Amino acid sequence: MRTFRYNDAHGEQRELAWSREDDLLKSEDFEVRLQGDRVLHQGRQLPYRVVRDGTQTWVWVDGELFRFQVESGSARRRGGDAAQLGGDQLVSEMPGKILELKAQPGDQVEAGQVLVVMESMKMELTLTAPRDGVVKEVPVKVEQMVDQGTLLVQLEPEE
Amino acid sequence: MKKLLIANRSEIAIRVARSAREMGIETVGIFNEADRGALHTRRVDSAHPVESYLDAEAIVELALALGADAIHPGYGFLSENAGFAGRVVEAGLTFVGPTPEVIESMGDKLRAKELMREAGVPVVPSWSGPLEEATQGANEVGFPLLVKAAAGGGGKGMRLVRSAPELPQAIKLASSEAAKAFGDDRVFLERYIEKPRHVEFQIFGDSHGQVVHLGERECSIQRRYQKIIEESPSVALDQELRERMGSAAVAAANALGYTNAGTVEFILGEDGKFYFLEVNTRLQVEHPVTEMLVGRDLVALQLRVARGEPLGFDQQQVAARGHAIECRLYAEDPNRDFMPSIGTLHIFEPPEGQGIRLDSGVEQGSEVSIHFDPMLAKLVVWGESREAAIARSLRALREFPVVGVTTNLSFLARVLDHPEFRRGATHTHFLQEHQLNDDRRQSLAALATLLAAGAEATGTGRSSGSTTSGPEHISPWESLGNWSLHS
Repeated sequence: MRTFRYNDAHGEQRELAWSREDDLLKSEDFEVRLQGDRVLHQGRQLPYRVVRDGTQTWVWVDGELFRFQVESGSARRRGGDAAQLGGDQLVSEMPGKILELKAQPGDQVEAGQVLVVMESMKMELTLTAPRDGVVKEVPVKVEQMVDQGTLLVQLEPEE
Repeated sequence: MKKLLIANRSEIAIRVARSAREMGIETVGIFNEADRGALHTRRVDSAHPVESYLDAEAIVELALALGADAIHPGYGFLSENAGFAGRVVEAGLTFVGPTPEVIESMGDKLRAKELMREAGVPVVPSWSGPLEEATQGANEVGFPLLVKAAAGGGGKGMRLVRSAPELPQAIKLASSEAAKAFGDDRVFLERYIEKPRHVEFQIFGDSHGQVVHLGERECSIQRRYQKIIEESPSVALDQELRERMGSAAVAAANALGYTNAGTVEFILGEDGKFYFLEVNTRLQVEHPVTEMLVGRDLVALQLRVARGEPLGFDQQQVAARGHAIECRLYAEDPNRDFMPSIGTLHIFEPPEGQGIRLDSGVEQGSEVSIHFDPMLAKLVVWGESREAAIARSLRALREFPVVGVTTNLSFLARVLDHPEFRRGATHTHFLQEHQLNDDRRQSLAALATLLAAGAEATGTGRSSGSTTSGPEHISPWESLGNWSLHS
């Protein structure tokens, strides 16, 4: 069994033990068979799509869309620059204004800890640490307007 | 009319172009920098850059330079801008919509209400005057009522009053709140309609003095005061009420000398009393609901009326069949207060089948950016009955993979599937009052997680030709970097 580590929709870290053999995908509780664009689950074939996009994995299955933020550890094992960047950096998902900065260079932070509060399209957004680590740099200021994709917090590289 | 400039973007620009092309009219599109290469620019005969979709002068100049003889404004942007309509007419071009005078008179919401009151259309009872006389005013308005700030908005300085003894205190609180919020302590009284439905009538007038209505649309399901599901007919209307409301809408249109397409919006109380809200002097987002129901092309009708032709049918010849429902697909996250989401539409595979229409501004591979309204598409479904239309809408929503941005697709399905929606107990506070059931999602969560885990199985690297075929062919277990999105 391998371990899939991810953050769920609430930012909670979770793990799933799983294995794969050809078209057979197994967890500890159940198994499914992949058949083209369908997955055979409990005797019924359901339509599904999976897309890997940087550090996130999208799964659409039978009308429901799920987004998994893949943990940097497993992302790193997979290799790839985009994944690695995602693990060390917190970037703005949307353009907006920085309201609060809750971390300074040198701070030890935990995955899921709120580091930045920003306002975008009249909504308040909280941005959390992508993993445990030490803050290397915070290249933005409170009240600053930032574009989408702006680096907000840089973590020290992992050991 | 030989050449039509469509002064809009996305799905409505495409929708207008379709009818124009069917009528043999050449179509001209416009786009701003953020929309370079967007779908709507590829669905017209030619597309031209503009600074902004709001640059009235530049758009008129462009139309003249290109030899266009008419402009369709779509909805939003310049569609209800009387100055723009006036400028178009002044330049000797045809404006596809009502006259600038009508647009202007309906643009001022207070004046519009006054005009409607004079035309005998019911408006929500309200009262303003010296506060010493408020008790008498309240009795005229009737309870329950709202004390509202004259300078108000956003619920500030607003108080709900259910009976006369509560009134003095409510006025005191509302006016002190209004003074703090707006620097103006004036308040007025307005009847409060409990569990109101939003019911609107499609009206159409030609330049020969004929006005008809094409039935109603109920648009009660709203989030952030914006409609997300619209249907017709409304379960709240029997034939008698439909005729009364339709006649009021036609009376409103006649009072204005209305030409072209418009919508008269009403709120409808639980007691069956209805009140004028406003007139939208343009084609509505939800016009396809009516098209599906009465089997007429409203844009084609707009173009014919604009070039001086008569409507060609009367009220008796308007026949509605079955039931139609529109769901607006938004790039937004219902779990985060409907915050817009952005990204790339890696997968966008519209559903198919009888009675299903998709008016989309995007396609697979499109970028969803922050620059515009996050509405991606409208799914409009027809069924022989309301029940059939709901069942078909649910099937279509669940057979519609959209991946790459968070959308409200499954949220829409949950609303349609709610027992109170199925029962027809819809009102504008529906989403605040009801908890939506996400059992279906919960039952798929473990499966989805296992599928995501499976994506970790192989390394990166291989590219594939298509994302429309199944993951077996696209090898979902690989990073996206090498995918070709336009296959």
